[in-house]
Amino acid sequence: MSHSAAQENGQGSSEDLFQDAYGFRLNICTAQQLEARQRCDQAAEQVAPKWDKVKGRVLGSPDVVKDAKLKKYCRLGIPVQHRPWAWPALSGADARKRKQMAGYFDAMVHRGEVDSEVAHQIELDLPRTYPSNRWVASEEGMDALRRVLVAYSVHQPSVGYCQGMNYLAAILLLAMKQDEEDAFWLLASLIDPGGILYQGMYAQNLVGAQVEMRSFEELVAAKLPKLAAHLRELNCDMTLIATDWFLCLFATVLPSETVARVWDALLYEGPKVLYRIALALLKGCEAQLLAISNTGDLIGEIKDATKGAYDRDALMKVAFDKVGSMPMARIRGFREENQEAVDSEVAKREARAQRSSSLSTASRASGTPPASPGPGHSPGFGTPRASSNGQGGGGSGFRTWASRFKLHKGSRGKDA
Amino acid sequence: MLASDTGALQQAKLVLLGDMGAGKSSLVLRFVKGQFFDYQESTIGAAFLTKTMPEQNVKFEIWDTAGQERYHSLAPMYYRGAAAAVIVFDITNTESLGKAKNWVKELQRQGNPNMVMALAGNKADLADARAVTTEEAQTFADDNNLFFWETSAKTNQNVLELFTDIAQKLPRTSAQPQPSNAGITLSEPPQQRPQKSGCC
Repeated sequence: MSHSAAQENGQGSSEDLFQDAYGFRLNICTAQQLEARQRCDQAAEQVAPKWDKVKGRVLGSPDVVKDAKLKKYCRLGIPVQHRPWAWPALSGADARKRKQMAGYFDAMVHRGEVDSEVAHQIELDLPRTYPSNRWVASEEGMDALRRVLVAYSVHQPSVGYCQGMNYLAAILLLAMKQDEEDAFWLLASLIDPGGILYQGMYAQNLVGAQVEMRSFEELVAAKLPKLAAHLRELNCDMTLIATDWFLCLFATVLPSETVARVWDALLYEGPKVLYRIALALLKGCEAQLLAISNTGDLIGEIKDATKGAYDRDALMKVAFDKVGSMPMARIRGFREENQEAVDSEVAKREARAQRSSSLSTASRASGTPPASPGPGHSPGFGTPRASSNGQGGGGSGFRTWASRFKLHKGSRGKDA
Repeated sequence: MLASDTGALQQAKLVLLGDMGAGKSSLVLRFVKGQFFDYQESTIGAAFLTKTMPEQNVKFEIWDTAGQERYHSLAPMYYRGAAAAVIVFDITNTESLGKAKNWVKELQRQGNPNMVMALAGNKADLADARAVTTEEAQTFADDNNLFFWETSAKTNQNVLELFTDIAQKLPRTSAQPQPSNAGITLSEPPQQRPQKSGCC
């Protein structure tokens, strides 16, 4: 990351030495990490001219340009100064934006209801999103984050707001040099039905994320059998290790420049990249993990390894060259099986919850159908939650979403 | 044999559950590291921390979970086999007590039957904004056989007391054969690897 690029980002100051390209405090503990980061920065500078060259071709095309050369470039990393145009163009965010009326993002922001349950949850998380990042924690940063998240919750009421999306939106805003509309459309290109990520990642019960984690577990069994056996022995479920990996796309565990580097490939190639990175992270500390006989220590070791992953070139190299082939057909097979299993478990849980709530007087949030929203599902009434204390939060939220849904379809709701 | 006979630390899995923003992570951070931040990063999935209380001869292995409703389905992974649970609510938010009550019910139904459960009414420093009376929470706790403490991660009020209470209530005799996921295990020195000092 060059000094000038940091200043362009509005984050340049004498503190640059201790901050990374996106204004996060560097947490470098060893000389190797420092050296690796510098080496990666230099490599990024070297590929910058290539990005100057492809820019016209990519931006000139109405559809996302898909070719092997660009795929290779994305894996090598998009220089920080090129991400603001490259991410929207290569992820399909620009194409989504073009399909909607102009001003769609602003319209979504304005439809956000201050009193809704979703707005309340977003509000609660704003100051708790990267509190150590100066811009994200500033009034300006929180306002921008609020607008992106509220707009998304209106745009996609069946998803609403899920904890984890706050970190995605923050990284997107930082990478887009605080352009909210680009951040919004990138979020949409990731999460919307038919988007980059697996369906239902942030749905009720996080069904999609659970499917991804189980599929990943099977992949670990195939690719790192010794480690898989060790984890089984320790009774260490993949959920304990990888929930935030899949829900935050590594945004809470890797250094931010490494996160962005992973997303360079993810946004272009899709969620298989998440499997590759996750495998690479485990492979990188496999020997240490095998020597640990306690789940807690094992998780601590993984945390340290991810936190110190400043050598983004090395991580990408392992992820794409050293974990072997990973045919999409195989992953699809894993997902189908696991989707079925997760759906049926969730259905059982819901039924149990419903039984017990009908027995007890306290009303509980249990009215959500177990089916995972995926492509083709009707964007219905999101999270109709029974308000537990008559406070009105959940109840009014339901009405609001319902009326908004009508608005969205062009017919006005009564109370709109 | 009793843990205290050998001097081996008793390891106890402890899980924190409760509404979003009730202060679960802040309580843990105060207890484990003695720190407090006004804004603690929201937890995704769960965070793992450990804390040894030498005078109680207990090492807590703490799972601090995410509070949002849709993370609920992951919770059994964390409370399965837990020896103890702290259910946290925010005394300035009545809805959070409702959520706490639901957690208690779920644990009574599905948790380890010997689980030691405590109810923590957090943010006790915000007396002016109090929305849940001490009596209401205390009555609920008494009815359900829970410890109850009003805590403040910010001022450190009753944080140590809460965890000390739990440590003392943990069943000490683990000699009877228990299912492998019973939550309390005696550490076995021969297999014990050097403990990492907590992650930085």
